[in-house]
Amino acid sequence: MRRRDVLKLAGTSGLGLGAGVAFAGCGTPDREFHIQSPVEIPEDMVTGVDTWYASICQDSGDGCGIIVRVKSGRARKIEGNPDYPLNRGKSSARAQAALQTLYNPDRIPNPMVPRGHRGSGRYRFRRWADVLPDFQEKLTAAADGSIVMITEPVNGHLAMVLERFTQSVGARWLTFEPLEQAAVRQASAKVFGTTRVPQFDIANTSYVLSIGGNFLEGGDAPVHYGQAYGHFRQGEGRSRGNFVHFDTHLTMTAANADEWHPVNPGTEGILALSIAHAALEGGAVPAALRPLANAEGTLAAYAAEQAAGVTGVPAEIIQRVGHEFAAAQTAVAMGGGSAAGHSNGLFNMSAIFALNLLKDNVGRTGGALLNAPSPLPDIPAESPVTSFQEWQEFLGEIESGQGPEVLLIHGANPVFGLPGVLNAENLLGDIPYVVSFSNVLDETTALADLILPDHHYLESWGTSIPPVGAEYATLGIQQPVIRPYHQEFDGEAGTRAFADVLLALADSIGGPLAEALPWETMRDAIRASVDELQARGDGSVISEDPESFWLTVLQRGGWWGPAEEATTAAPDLSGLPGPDAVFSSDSQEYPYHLVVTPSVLLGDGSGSLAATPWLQSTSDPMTTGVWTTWVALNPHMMADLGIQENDIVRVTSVAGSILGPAYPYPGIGEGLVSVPLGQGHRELGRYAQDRGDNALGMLAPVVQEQTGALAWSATRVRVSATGRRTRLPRIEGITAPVQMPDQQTFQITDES
Amino acid sequence: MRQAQEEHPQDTDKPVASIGRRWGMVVDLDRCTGCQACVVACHAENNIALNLEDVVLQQRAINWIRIERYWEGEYPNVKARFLPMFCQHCNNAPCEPVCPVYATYHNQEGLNVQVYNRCIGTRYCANNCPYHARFFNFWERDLDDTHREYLNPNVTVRTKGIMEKCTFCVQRIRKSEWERRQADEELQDGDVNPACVQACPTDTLVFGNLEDEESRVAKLAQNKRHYRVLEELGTDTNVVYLKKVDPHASETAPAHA
Repeated sequence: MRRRDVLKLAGTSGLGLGAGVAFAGCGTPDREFHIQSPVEIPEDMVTGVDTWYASICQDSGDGCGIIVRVKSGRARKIEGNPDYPLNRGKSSARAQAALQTLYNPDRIPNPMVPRGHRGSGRYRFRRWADVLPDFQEKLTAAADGSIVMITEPVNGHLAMVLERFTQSVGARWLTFEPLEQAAVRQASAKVFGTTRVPQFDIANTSYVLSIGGNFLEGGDAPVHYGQAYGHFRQGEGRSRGNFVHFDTHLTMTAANADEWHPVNPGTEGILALSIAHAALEGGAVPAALRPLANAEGTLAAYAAEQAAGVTGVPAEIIQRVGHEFAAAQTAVAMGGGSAAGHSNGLFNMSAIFALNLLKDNVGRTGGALLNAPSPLPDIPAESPVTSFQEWQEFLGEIESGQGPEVLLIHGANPVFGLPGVLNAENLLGDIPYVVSFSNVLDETTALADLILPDHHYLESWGTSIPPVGAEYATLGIQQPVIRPYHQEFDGEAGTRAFADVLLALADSIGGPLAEALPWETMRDAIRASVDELQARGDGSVISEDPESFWLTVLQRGGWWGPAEEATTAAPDLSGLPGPDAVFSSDSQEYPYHLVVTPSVLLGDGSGSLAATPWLQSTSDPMTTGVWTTWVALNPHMMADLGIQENDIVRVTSVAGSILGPAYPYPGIGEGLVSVPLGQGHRELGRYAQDRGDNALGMLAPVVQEQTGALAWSATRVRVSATGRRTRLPRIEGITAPVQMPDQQTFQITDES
Repeated sequence: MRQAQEEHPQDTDKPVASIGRRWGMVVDLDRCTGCQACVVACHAENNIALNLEDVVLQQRAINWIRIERYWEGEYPNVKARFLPMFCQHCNNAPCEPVCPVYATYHNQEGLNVQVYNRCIGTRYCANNCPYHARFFNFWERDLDDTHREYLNPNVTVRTKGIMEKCTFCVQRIRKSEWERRQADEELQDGDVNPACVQACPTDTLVFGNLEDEESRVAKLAQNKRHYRVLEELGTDTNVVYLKKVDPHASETAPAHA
């Protein structure tokens, strides 16, 4: 019996809907009577006692396992799932804040169509039954190849459903990530033989060398790395690890390093090879690095003295770090951040990752651990990623009148995230029929002819295949922990799960589409996969009975078990180093490098994190700024430019400009301008709208030649005062720390 | 305060007779990355008012736990240091004797307790707290209807005109006690974890009974890196910090805010 069937039964027997209506007069919200456990055992709900359900966090980007406290039918608190291999009981600020994306007052509660013309900003609620037939007709009437589906990068069952759906209806599937990580993935493929970046085992390594890697605040698994970092520093049974970080400016991860050294933007790869040269004492490189070496097989071109001039890192530091890296018992080299966003990002990242080959640490404790493949062969661990170049081509097609007839959007916000010069807003707006599945009104959804709001992830089914290293093949299961907040009272209002809408559509259209997607709901699809896992007879849950296996897997938040060895290719560094980094414009007119900094709280601004007052009001770790965008500048540079703190400055690139209060930031060099991402939404509801500026919009469309990705670190800017002032809201200064003359508040020791 | 203690010579460093339980926390500064998970977890657990932009600009934001950031040195030898700061649950608390209505007092478990329905909002306690750990509700709560849904039913929603601060998630302590009592058992080390401790990815924060010598927190509090913030004031806190380890400590200037 399905969950909805239980409800129908309850409704007719006077316990469900009937009772709800009857009691409404007594002031009890009728919703309360519909709340039931999402697992098929409604009798486990006891009034006044909280229940905890395991699920997967889809807001934070890393797919942490979570457990959610549910009381009186409402989600009250999110914690890390102590069983889940990726984050073992820990969580992040973003995971915690999902309650506010769930109970966001500006969520779209029902299907909507614009009143009057598209983009009018006024909407009319519709019933699902009224809009779905028309939607299906448009979809079936569209010519082959004239449907485009845009989503965020996804994995797990949603990726499988999307792949089959788009293939069967002859649609193109584009994915969108604003700060493209193509260089990271492709460098991983070159060095480690797989596009899934390995997990670096920092918990058990003695030396971490990071060039641009912002693994504690971003990257693919910040909570996982946070946990490992704690162990790396003060874990029992090991000595304190050493952490050296190079980056263009002082990020949160850099602030946690034992040493941080600034490096000139775009020269990260040269620095990595120079460190390699020092580590090898100038000797010949291992075979895998041969394509980067000279005729003698050495990296003499990258000797510390030469590299120092280019990278801005003193030669003695390069030498010392190289020797330390070589001498360390175990060491890993990590990279990412702005190093991956230069036009030579692939070279930068490949050179950084290649340092691991010097330590021969792949697959070893304290080294680079390759991720186990998906436990289910037909469920992908990653989705195809559309490069910036392909996005340009796609928009070019629309411009030349060859765009699609139908556009479907879920989870991605290209109007906000693509550089403004691409004119995505107008071009996507030229597509005759646009359907958005977003449950918040974001900038792209504002273009839609039809909005079919998705459930929140805490209300719907899904899966995740997390990057947990080689130990376990893992399938994390996202299950509904509450009944949908915006309910379908008669089955026709409220939100509906995106995947379920696609599956119902497939069923209704029939033919090959229905054959490719035979499940009635996402839950059925996941159940079928879980039955496959049960047949394996190993892993975290073992049971003879499929039903109890299913329930236990749900209780534990997923299944993980022994992994097959990941199949990888041999290192192949051919085609490198490639051309040097290029920047958007000349240094005369635009003298500074723009460093766009994804916020540890709001990320790059995609999704609806900016609509959560908790994340908006939590202080940025480095500047303590909240609620807006600021422009972080070196204090000496500000003095030279005659800019005071809180002066509103304009940051201008060839492709646009933003405004923000100047913040004197001691951790940035004089040639750089750092702007946090996440703000500058024109839509997205009361907490996000019209706050700050979006620096993604001013990025120059420089393409990374080797990957086709956007070189999002390659924009040069100029800075000018506007003559206006404001006050940057920030937490710093609210509580001035008391300092005693003889005793520091923050105390440091040099012995571990 | 000192005089009061002299009248109870049997327990000079603890102004209140203990019941064999003194809740405390160890903060390992060498682990903290400044990620703010504790801050948001605390807001979610304790029904803390939303710090809207205006509230922050008026410098009236409420954060029971915050990450203080200290700068050291000059570019390029600059360092940023992170220090989690929250109510230190002082055994000799400056906030307690100044409350005219006994709204804040020290309980037998070592907690510095705030009784909301006694508080009349004089704010003397906040003025006297050297850690800036106390916050005043300047406004009545004005929550969106949907934002009411996630409120924690075990924690009072404070009204305008009263003080609030970190409680060490006393509702979680009570709940764990209750659960153990159902099974006729004593509380075990590790049973109680305040929201910040539970969220903290790096295990910077460790919570437990300082009087139980076998507890993890009591052992860590003996670590050679231990110190208390503003120890000179004689507040005798129940929060022990472990110094940040920096092999290059002598190369940079001392920290400033």
